[in-house]
Amino acid sequence: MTIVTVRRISQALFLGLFLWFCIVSSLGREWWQLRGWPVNWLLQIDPLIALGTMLTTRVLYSGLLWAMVMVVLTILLGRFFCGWVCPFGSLHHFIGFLGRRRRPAHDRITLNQYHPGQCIKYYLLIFLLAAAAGSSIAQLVRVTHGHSMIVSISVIAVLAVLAVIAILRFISNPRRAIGILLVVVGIWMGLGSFLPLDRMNAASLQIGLLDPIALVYRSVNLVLLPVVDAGIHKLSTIQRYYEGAWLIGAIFLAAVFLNLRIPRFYCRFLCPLGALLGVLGRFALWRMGKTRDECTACKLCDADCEGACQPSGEIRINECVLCMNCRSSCKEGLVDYQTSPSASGEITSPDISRRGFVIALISGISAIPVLRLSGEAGPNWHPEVIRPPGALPEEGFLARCLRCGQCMRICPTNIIHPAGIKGGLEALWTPTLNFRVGTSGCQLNCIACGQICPSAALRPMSLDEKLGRKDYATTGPIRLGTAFVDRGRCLPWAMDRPCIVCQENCPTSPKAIFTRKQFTTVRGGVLLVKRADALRVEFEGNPLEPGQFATGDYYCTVGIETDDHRRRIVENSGNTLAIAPSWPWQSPPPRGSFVRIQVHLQLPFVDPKLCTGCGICEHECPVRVKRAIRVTPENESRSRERSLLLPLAGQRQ
Amino acid sequence: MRRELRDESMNRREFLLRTAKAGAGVAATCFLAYWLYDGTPPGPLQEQDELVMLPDFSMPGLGPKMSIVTGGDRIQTVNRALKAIGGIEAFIKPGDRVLLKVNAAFATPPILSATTNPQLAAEVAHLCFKAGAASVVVTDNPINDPESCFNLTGIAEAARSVGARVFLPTEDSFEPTTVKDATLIRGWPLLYSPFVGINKVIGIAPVKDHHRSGASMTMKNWYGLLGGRRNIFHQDIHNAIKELAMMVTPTLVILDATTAMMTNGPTGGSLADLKRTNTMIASTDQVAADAFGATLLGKTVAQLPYISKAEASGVGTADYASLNPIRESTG
Amino acid sequence: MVSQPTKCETSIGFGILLVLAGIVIGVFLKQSHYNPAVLVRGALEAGIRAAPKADLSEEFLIEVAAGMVPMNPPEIFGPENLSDKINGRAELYLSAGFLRLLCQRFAEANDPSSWMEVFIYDMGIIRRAFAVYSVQRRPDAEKATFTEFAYRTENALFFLHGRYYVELIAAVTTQRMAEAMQVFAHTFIGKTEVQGGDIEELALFPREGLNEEGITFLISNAFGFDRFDNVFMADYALGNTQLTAFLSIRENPSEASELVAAYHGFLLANGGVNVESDIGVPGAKVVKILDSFEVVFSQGKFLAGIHAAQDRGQAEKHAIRLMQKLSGASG
Repeated sequence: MTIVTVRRISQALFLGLFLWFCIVSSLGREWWQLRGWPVNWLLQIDPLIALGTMLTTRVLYSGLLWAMVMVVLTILLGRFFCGWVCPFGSLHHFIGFLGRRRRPAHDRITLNQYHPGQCIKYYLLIFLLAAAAGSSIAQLVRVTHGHSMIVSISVIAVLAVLAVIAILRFISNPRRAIGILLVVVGIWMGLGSFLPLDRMNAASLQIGLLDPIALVYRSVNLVLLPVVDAGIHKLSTIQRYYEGAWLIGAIFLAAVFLNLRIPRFYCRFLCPLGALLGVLGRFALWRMGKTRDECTACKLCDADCEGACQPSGEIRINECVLCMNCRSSCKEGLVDYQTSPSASGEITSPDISRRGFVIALISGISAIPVLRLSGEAGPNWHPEVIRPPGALPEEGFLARCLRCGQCMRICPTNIIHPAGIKGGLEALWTPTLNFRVGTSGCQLNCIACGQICPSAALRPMSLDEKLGRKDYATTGPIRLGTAFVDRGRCLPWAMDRPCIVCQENCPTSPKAIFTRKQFTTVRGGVLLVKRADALRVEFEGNPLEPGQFATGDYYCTVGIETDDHRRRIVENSGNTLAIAPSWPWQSPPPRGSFVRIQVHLQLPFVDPKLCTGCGICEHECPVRVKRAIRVTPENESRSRERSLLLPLAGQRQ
Repeated sequence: MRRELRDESMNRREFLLRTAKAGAGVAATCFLAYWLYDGTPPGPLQEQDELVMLPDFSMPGLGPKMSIVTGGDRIQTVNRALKAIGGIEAFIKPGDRVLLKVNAAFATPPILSATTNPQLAAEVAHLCFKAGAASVVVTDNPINDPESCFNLTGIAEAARSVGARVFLPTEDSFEPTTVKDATLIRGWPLLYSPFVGINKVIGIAPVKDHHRSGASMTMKNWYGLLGGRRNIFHQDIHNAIKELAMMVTPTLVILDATTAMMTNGPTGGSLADLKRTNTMIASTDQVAADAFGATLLGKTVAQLPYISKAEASGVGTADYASLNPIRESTG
Repeated sequence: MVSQPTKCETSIGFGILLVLAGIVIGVFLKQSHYNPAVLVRGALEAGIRAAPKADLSEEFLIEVAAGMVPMNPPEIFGPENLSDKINGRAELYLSAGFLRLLCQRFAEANDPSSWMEVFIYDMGIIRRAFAVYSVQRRPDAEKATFTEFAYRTENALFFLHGRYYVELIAAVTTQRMAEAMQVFAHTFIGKTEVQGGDIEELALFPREGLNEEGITFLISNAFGFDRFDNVFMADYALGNTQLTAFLSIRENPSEASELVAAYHGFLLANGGVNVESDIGVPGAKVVKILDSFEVVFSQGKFLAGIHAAQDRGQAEKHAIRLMQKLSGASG
């Protein structure tokens, strides 16, 4: 049993576990459905997710404790996550293996040479963490407010020292870096004492865009599974749709196919998690390395090196993914996982320049405030962005959303979709509701999305809270928005066609959609009577289409139009009408009088006090393309800016 | 041999050093996890900043006082009105920091009487300084742009001419407040920054008809302290005004009915909307002031439900006669 | 290439495999703790299956009888507005699962003052229709024979047809009107298809002394006990005593016996006194409460007993008769 075999088993296991978790993520009790499978576990052991959420929320939420275990293990053992656990990494490993299988050793050695572009992932890491850190920095700065000078200065000093230590770990030329950082920190703290920096420092969690676990969950859940299931319809009864999935799919396929060019392309060049683990593994107790300096320099150890860390020379510890291939490749048995550093030397710091560091840092910190200038998180809220039930108020939501797509996957009615750029670039791939797609609106009795979100961007609620029952009776149900009837498109309002599909399907009790009766004379509905008896009328000429008024919604009236006079039409031919026998005419309309044919319309109205924005009405509306009743996020429970009504006493605002 | 020994000892030392660093890293991780761990999911509402509440600015032990002075010159009538209820010295003591809440809601000229008369505001500020006030600040959260409102109404210039400071609200000037026993003003942004350090508040409001609430006088004047999308309160305007009166307990209010806006309020626009009622009211009870002001508009208390609601909430009394208002005339 | 893995390597490898196996086992163990979303989902689906849908088409239900003329169009009432038509009585129907009411008035063609009103209540299933039928049965009624459950009074005709409970109420007591109502009833029964179905509890009562028209179905809250639902009551005249027997079919024998104990406790808590009695019915309880006797026992999944009997001996004897009949029946 070589260690490489064990590594392959481990990779296969975690990849299989990941795929299994994706497959079972549908609501139900069968063994192949959700049950209690810990489908978020691979997201929870991801240290980048834990670190990102700690920076934006200053809380380590629940299951993310697993990530701390992973961090501890990485500190002790090195970057084994990439080589043994990460399912995305295993995928790259496999595709890369396919790509270089038949190539001679010489080519493989060239492919696995360290490429200076491998430093990009560190810049990406810094950028993403800086984007997340804005609000935490503001909190730190706020510490100096309202405290004496001594406290402020000591806080500044402590922070400066910590920053210096951090820099030392990163950059090869420490002195100038320290100087620059001290200046930056000093200016920042100084400014913070005078300006309201906490308002300028917006932060949000963008790591989900590039974090490998979030990315692979998103790609498999939203692209692979629906495409595969389109044929076999095993995972879902109908075709699942996801808006904008093309971009997610394209990125995924690009990342996968780039492995045919350079093995483990994503891991080496782009993966911010790999960068983080590489930095954390600096002091690992065991590391790969040569046991002896003199070797034949055959470079076979480089031929299958996954991390492009160059074990043949000065091994780069932060790039090594502990695949152990070098150890099994070396014919002399000179490469081993050992406590002492490699006999040919090792490099423990990433190869990034201080210039790049500062650029990444400043861009990251300023990215979010700049993105927020378009106002989409506040006053310029896009009307089509409706968040799922349980979403935190927008700032808190953006601080937590991983864009992992779990909520979109679990939603039984397929109405949660990744947002495009309509919610702003900052909200790319965050969940938003599209009621036109899927099997129904937001089911009243479903709490799946909140229960599955790994970072509580959609917080877990009980059914009582969602419906506003029992303990939550005074605060009322959770509202996603309000439905608005488009009177220009609604069939009864605009086209004299009876329809109350929305009212029939409204699930609240009492119904939020109510109707008002209206009788309208139909087009061409004023007709001259030729002959009539208690149950039939005959007209001059052939003015009618046979059966046109036989649906039960049409009435005819003579003279005064009141409820007492209208008779329901049960059938008609080209020139006759028959009314319902349950109420014949007392005195049939005389020859030469006019009869009006009227349609009984029930006009829908929405009561904003009761509407929860579940979207079932929008989904059922028979005006298929641009629905005649649409939900927009007005009056959603979580936002005061978008509230429509004054709250009742004690109610949630 | 010796080199191997040296390498070995160097390696061992290096290893121990590394182990120590790794151990420190592990310890830091564990500490961080322990410190920040929170197993409970976040609650439904945003983390609320601490709510602020305005303190009671009324003079203790003074009892309710009211004066009604008729006359055409605001400076004369306001001086007489204040003297009748004890003089400004009864209310403003040396070293006091005073806030004058004026109505600068619109960027309209003073002759339209849609806003507080600038000379009146300046005179009240001047009187406060005479009584020994350390500072006087004049403020409002206008409906239109603050700077143009305070300038075009003339209030900014008038205030500055007597040494008072004008506070123009910015986004940061607001803090959420909840009025005790209120149902509408809960966690609502209040113009709080100018109140920091203040211990006396005087409201100065013109008498106006109001399209939605029936009238806009001293109680509705506090609407100008609300921020956010406050127009939502128009859906329940009378309860909102009642809660505004519960929110602010001023030292005294001055109701300027020299030129009352009889119709087309609150913006007015034509001089024909105004009527020369030539009255100035000073009162420690804002409900009583409004109740009397209603008569000048030709309305009854019944037509202005917010007055009875405020009275029922204990803010004051609508029966202004019971305050034995001192009636004088400047001729 | 290292040809043979070392012992150290193999043992570490196995150690790691053990950890992996542990992870797999952990995942398996976790999957049996259902996610709350899954638990809620199950409850949802069960609820959906329960409610029967109302039959919406009304055309076939009312056919104008010969010689009768409708006075108004047919009216339809649902649960939300039933009280608009029958006011306080709506409660009875709503608690029995009322779906829809169709009603219309008819007058004689040549005598408009002689009219009647037809009420057709759609109760969903025959048991519920029987509940509202039996509870409202007038004591002075004459049994009608045209269908199994029907009776008439001087000016009205009441009957059951499958899921429909029909009332025909006339403004006059003439023979002509009575005949018209009869014709209407016949036509309705002939034309309206209903699902067949028996009420099995009716046959379970011993026949001797039974007032066939005196069986009532209490859907809920029988005898004031909130756990007594689906209870059938039957009146008996035995010799010169009157008593009431009751029975109810429960889900399973354990529920039936548990309910006996619960009802016993309920009686004792309300002033009843336990009476030791060995009447030959296993598990039976006898209680004297408010000058009358209650007997309650269970037989298989039947819960049964005697209610408010004056004569204890007769009550016990009848209980035995009831038990024997029930033990003969499937249970």
